[in-house]
This record gives sequence, structure tokens and C-alpha cells, in this order.
Amino acid sequence: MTDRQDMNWICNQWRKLRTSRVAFLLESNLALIGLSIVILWVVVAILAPLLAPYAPNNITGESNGAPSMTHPMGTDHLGRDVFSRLLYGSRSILLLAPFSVLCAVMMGITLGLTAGFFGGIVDEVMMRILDAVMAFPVLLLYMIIIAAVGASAINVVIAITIGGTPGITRIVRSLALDVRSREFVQAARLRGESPLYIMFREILPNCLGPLIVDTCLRVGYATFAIGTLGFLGLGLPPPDPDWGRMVAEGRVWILTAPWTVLFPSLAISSLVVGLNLFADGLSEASRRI
Amino acid sequence: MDRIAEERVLVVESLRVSYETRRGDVKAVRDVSFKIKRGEALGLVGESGCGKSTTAMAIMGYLSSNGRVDGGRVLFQGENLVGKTDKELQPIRGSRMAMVYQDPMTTLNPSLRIERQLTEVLVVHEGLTKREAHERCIEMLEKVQMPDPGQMMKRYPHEISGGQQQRAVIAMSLLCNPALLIMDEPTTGLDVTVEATVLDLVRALRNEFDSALLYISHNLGVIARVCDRIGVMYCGELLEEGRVEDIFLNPLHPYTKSLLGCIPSVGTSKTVVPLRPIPGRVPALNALPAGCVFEPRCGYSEERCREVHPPLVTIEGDRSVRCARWEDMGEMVTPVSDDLAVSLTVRDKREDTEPLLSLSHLKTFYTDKPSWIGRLVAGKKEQCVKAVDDVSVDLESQTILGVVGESGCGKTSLAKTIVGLIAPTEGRIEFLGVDVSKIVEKRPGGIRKELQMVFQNPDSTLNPTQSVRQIIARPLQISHTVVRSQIQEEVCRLLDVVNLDESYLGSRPTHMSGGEKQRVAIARAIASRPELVVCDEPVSSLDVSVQGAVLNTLLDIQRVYKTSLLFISHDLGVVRYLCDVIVVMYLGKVCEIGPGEALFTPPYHPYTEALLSAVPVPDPTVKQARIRLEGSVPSALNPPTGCRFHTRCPRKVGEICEMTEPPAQLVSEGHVIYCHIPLGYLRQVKPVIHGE
Repeated sequence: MTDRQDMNWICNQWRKLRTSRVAFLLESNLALIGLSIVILWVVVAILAPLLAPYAPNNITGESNGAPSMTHPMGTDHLGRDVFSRLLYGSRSILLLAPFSVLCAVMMGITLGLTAGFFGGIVDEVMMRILDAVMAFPVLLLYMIIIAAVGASAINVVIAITIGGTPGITRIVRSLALDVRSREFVQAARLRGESPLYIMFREILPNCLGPLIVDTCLRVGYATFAIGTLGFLGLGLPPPDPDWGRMVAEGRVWILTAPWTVLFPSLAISSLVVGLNLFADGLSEASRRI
Repeated sequence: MDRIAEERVLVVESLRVSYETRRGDVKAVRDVSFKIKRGEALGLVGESGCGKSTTAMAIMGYLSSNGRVDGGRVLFQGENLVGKTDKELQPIRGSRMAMVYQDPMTTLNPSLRIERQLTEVLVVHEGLTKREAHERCIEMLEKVQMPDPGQMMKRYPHEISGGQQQRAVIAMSLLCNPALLIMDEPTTGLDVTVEATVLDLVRALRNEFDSALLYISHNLGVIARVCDRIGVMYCGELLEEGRVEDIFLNPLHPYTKSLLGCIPSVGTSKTVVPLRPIPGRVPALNALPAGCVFEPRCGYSEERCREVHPPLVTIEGDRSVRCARWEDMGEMVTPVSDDLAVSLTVRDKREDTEPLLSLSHLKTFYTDKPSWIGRLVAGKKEQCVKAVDDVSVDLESQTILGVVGESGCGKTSLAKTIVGLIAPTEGRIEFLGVDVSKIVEKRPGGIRKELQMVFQNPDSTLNPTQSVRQIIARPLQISHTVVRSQIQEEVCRLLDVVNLDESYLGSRPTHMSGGEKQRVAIARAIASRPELVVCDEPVSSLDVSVQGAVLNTLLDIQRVYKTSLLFISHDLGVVRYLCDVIVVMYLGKVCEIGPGEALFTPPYHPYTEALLSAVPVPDPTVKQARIRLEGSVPSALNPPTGCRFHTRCPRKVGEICEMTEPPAQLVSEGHVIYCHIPLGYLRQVKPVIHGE
């Protein structure tokens, strides 16, 4: 294609993007910044083998070595390159956080729709059980679960799912209560639709807006939670590079080798901030629609 | 010079108002000019979005932050108000110029007593002391016929009824004897009988205070009752202006003519005069036609109407019209296109079969049982709203039955009970010979699909995440009306029946107008070819020009599919036009049932009589009796004993009305009146509306 045709194609794509349904994302600066940060980390996670100078678990330098030309972020107490561990660590966190939130959302939707649609005793019982779960301090809850079932990737997902379900259920339930009173739901009842159809095909699509924004926020919380669990030693088992665990291991040496704690902490914060900005921007944009 | 300036209280010259929006400037009002003299009432009439409220706001200087006056002058008693700051306008607003809004509940401060709000006006503008202001306010409340003004002053707005609130607001606006009073749809939220009393009040006050009145409404009947002159607005422009009699009897602009032709009034029924709705829809303000703004929907347009924007032409000094062809209007016969006119319903004369729907002693009560804590601590008692109390009605097949009544009469509860969204408390509903006195989930599937409903609010009646195609196809899939392979074809056919183009198939409800959404809802309801469709106020929230289209659609459906309709409304004109048999309800009870023509001629039930005399008729030549009801509809929580209507009945006989429920009196075949007054006396009552 000639240069001119290339330009035209790019302009067309841009115009299509601007008028498509996701165009509202581009209107919010906050969303754009947040999205860029998240996309940056995703790219890093995908290209980690190419970007990392060393394998993450190999001992390649001196113990607690300062940042230098060969090790741009220094080495940890065992002599592993911090930079490489950081890059590889992004993979597990970017995989686990969204996945666990997704599980929590699926559970939350099912429970919330059921409670909102049926009401009555079903609603009461479900909400009280979930209230009890929510009453636990989240961290304590995670610790209890992991202590009970052991530390592994799946168990981290289970813990975050259990911790996140009550909140999501509440949101979905109140949205469902609101949508249920609308006339098109009454029309569906008149047609004789089954409760399952009404819940998932009539009510749920109308709850998605606020739900999506909340989900993005939760991915941020989940990222932070995984980091915390790692810090407490309850995350992925060693020697996998887990940002939280890196912070925990480096904590002892914080005065002499601060880089072992600083860079993983910055990584966690930047990802959480990016996700939060994106969620804020999304909610701002969706309110303007 | 001075006398002329004094006479013209308000002169609006070429007013232009625009709003800044994300999509650019929206020119909401373009080149509007009119004058109001002292003591004169000008009605600005138009549909939603035509700019009448914007004009009022611009005159008062209350435009929102993104609105501005682009051009023109607003001369109030000689002074130009455009460009003045809030500080300069403050001494004028409230004292020399006052406004009454649509919703009195939001006009009055809910946390201040009436006394405080009313006296504040006098204290600020005229510098009176609180005591003097209090005296003046009591006088004014008496003038607006507020019962027990002393007590009223001490109350909060939520403690008084809607009609009383509006009177308080009107009193507030008249306290300083303003030269100009602007009223923006002040009676739209009120019941018909209450509206009638407020309109009477406005007329009486006009005689007493000679303020100039600018009355804004979409209801031509109300304007005919209150105003001397009318200005017709459409899409931001003033299309015609003149005296009320002239405009109604000899409209010059095609829009005015069409508007008058599509309002159902209490005098006409579908068999007499078909409604002629205006095709098309109001153009979006950012895509205005180059020539005349009404041209795309006008049946008389020519080439020059498309190219040149017509100027406002003044005729005979007191009439103006914005139309290039106004001179030819007199000779023109309104073109009636075949698909818009309604052919008379020819009903197959069926043998005496069972009625399609039979209600016997139907009762729907809403009980509110407080929790044991509530009872213990707060002493809450069980409360019961008798929404539908012992209703027995039969609906024959292929008829349209209308249920009419004011707020709280139980018509919506009746609809929901018949359809099965609410379970009846007592009584029996028989449909197609099957007992269906239960909630819809428990009814047999075959019966369910024969009974469908069209709802009131077009904005929530369709699922916004589904396309029109999905919405209409779903009931076809469920009820197996046609084989799977033919579903798409049937969807297109249904759209055709409701007069919507195939291009709507892929649209979502968010991009559609109220009338279009309601028509899709009708298509959805008739998809399963039901025997009976219950319509709960389907046209109440639509513009007048669109109502006609939807009503005609319903008539077409009844004719083509031989469906029966149960049509619920508070609008007597619509019910008269559409329905064969009408039921009048009051506080859960039936007052009168009968065929349309019989109901609207004597003998009447006293409530029907009052309703007929209260309805504003869009024809200034019609003489209407003046029967007004005291107070407002009593609460359904504590309905009156005996005849529910006795607290307001102007023809109350005596104690018997308070003690016993009225018996059914058979007037003629199919016409029953529930009243203690003997029929012989009722037959001698004069007709309420005459002179049509």
C-alpha cells in the first residue's frame, strides 16, 4: 500500500474508534492514563522473556548488590537480578488478579440476581450469611483460608473470590431490585418466561454498567491483596518471583539494600494506581453518557 | 406614548435563545415575538421540546448556566431585561413579575412552613413587618379559595394536597400584585377535577388583578378555557398567533390545523370523526430543515416552503402566521391518506356467547403488616389499601372497554390483577371460560399468551439492551405463533402493523422517541395474537400529535386481529374516542358502566357528571356546565363509608349515602349507574356539554 493509503486507513480506523461504543473511554483523561499504565504492564508481562536480561530464579550476581550497569535494579539477598524478577513477577499477578476477580464476579452475579429476583426468605438468608463473611477483616479472612488449605496459586484465587463475593453480591442485588420493578421485566413475566431467563437475559444486561466499573476497581484491590498475601508469606510458594514476597524477603535488609524493597513496592503501587485511575475514568465517562 | 407603553406590559421582540451542549450550540428558540397587554392572557402552546418553557425562563432571566439569549429584546414595562444581571433583576422578580411552575412540591421549600414562605415575599419586596405580611397573606389565601387559611399557614407543604399546594404557589406569586404572571403548566400534575378548580381560580383572579398572564401548556383545552390569545410554537419558532376564537375556528397554519385535528375530545368518537395524526417527528434541533421548520411533516408544502424560511406575517393587526401559503388555507381540504384514516370497525355479529373476560366481586387489597418490632415500639397498625373493592364487569369479545378515573381510583391495580401481576385478594376472574384468579406464574401457559399488556411509561417498557428485532421476536419464539423459519417475516409484518419502518429492526430503544417505543411495545404485546390486550395509560406520556398515531394503531389492531382491548386512562377525551363501553371508577368502586354515547349523555352518575364538566374542551364555542367538587380525592387508606363519593358529591341525597352502598340501577341495555338517586330524577338532569 502506498503511504497515502496507509494514512487513510489509519485515519479511518481512528475515526471508527472515536465513534464506536468504546469511544467514551477516550474522552476521559483519567481513563486513558490508567489504561496506559495497565497496558504497559501487560506488554511487559507478555514480553518478559525478551526483556529480562537474566532468568528470574538464577543467581547471577553478588548478594544485595547495588544497582549497576549489569543489574539495573540491583540484586536481592540471594544474588538474583531484581529487574528480571520484577518483570517475571508481573505475569503471576496479572494472571491471578483478574482471574480471581472474575470468579468473584460470577459468583456474585449468580447470588445477587437470585437474592434480588426472588426476595423474601431466600434474600434474607443469603444476605445474612454474606454479611457474616463481610464482617471478617479481609486480611484475616485470607489468612484463615490459606492457612486451612495451604498456599498455592489456586488457593489465592479461592481466597480472593470468597473475600470479594459479598460486596459484588450486594451491588448486583440492589441493581436487580431496581431493574426488577421496570415494566419490561413485568412484560417478561406475562410471557411466562422462566426465572432463569428473566434474571440472566432481562435483568443482568441492565446491571452491567456500574458492575463493570466496580470490577475494575476490584482488580486493583485484588492486586494489592495478592501483594499483601505474598508479603505475609501466604502467596505463591518460593522460588517464584512474587512481588509481595520480594518485599517481604527484602524487608530485613531494608536499611542496607533498599532497592530490594523499593522496586517491587513501586511496581505494585503503579499497577494498583493504574487500575484505579482506569476504573475512576470509566465511572466518570459512564456517568456522562 | 406613555399610555401605550403602559398598556404593553411585555413585548418580546425576535428573541433568540441557545444552549451550549457537547455537540455544539442548540438554537432552542428562534425569532419569537409577541406582546401581552395589561389584563390580557396569552397562551403559549406547543409540544414537548418546542421551546415554550425556554422562552419563559429567558423572560425571567432563569436560563441555566449553559443557556444564553443570543438576540432580541424582552421589554418589560418599557425596560429591556436582556443583559441585566441577577442583582438588577432581583427587585423585579417576585414583585413585578412572578412565575408559577408545574410541580408545586418542588416550588415550595419542604422544610419551611407556608407562612414563612409567603411572608418572605412581602418582607423582602415591600418591606412590611412580619405581622403586616401575615395579615396580607391570610387575605390572599382567602382569595385563592384555600380552606381555613389560618391553619394552612402553619402547615408544611407535604401536609397539604397537590391542589392546595398549587393554590399556595399562586397566592405567593400574586402577593405583590405583579404586572406580569407567568404560569408554566401549573395544572399538569393535578387530577382533572382539581385542575378544573385551579383553572377557575386563575380565571377569577384575572378579573380581580389585572396582571398580564403568560400561560404555557401543551393542552389546547386548558388554553381555550383560560386565555384570550394563543401563540402556537413548534420546534423553537412561533408559527401562529391570534385570538382564541380565531385560532380554533379558523386556523391558518397547517400545524395548528393538524394539531386541532388530532386531539380526541369528549364530543367525538371513532365512528364519527377519525383522528388524523401528524406523520413524522419533530426535527432534532441540530438538524433543522433549511426552509420552513414544519415542512417535512406538512401536507400542503410546496417547493418554496423547502427553500425559503417563511417570515412572520401580520394579518389584520392582531393575527400573525408564519407560513408561505397561509392565504390558500381557507380553500384547502385536509388531505386524508388512506392508511391514516380509520375505517369503521365492522364487527361480526356473534351469537350470544360467553363474555371474553368476566370479573365477579373482584377485590385487590394491599396490606401493610408491620413487623413485631414496629408494632411493639411504634404502635404501628396493620393498614389496608382497598385498591379494587368489589368490581364486577364483563367484557365481550371484539370490544374496547375503557376504564376511566382519577388518581387513586384503582384502575392500574385492576389492570395488574386482571393480567396476573398481582394476585387478587378475593373474587373471581374468568377468562375464556377458565378461572384465572391467580398470579400469572400459576396460570396455564395457553391462557397466558392470550392476555397481554401495554404499559404506561414508554421509557421503561422496553429492555434497553435489546434490539427491536429481539424484543418482538421473543414472544413469537415462546408462544410458537409461527414456525421458527417464519419468525423474521412475522417480525417485519408486526412492525408494519404498528406503522414502523423495517429500518427500526436493528435499533435500540434508547434512540427511539416515546411514540415509537410505545408502538414497539404494542407490537410485542400482539405478537402472540392475544385475545385481550390490557393497555394501562399507553398514551398519557406522549405528545398530542403522537397520541393519535398510537390510538389509530390500537384501532387497526382491533380491526385486523379482532382483539379486544381493556383501555385504562384518566383522559376522558381519549376514552370517549376509542372505547365502545366505558367504566367509571372512583376509589376502588365502579360508579357507572355503559356504552360511550350513553355515558356522555344524561342520565349521569354525579361523579361522571363532575368529570365531564371538569374536562377542558379544546373548543371555545362549546358550553360546558360548571360543576365543581370540593376538596380532593380522599385517601384510599381510609375510604368513606357507604357510597365512596358522598364526601364530594354535589347531589348527595342524605344519610343514606353515608350508610349504605349504592345499588345498581339499570338505565338501559348495558348501562348501569350505582347511585341512590332515583333514575327518574337523574334522567332530567341537563347535559353537561352542549353546543358541538
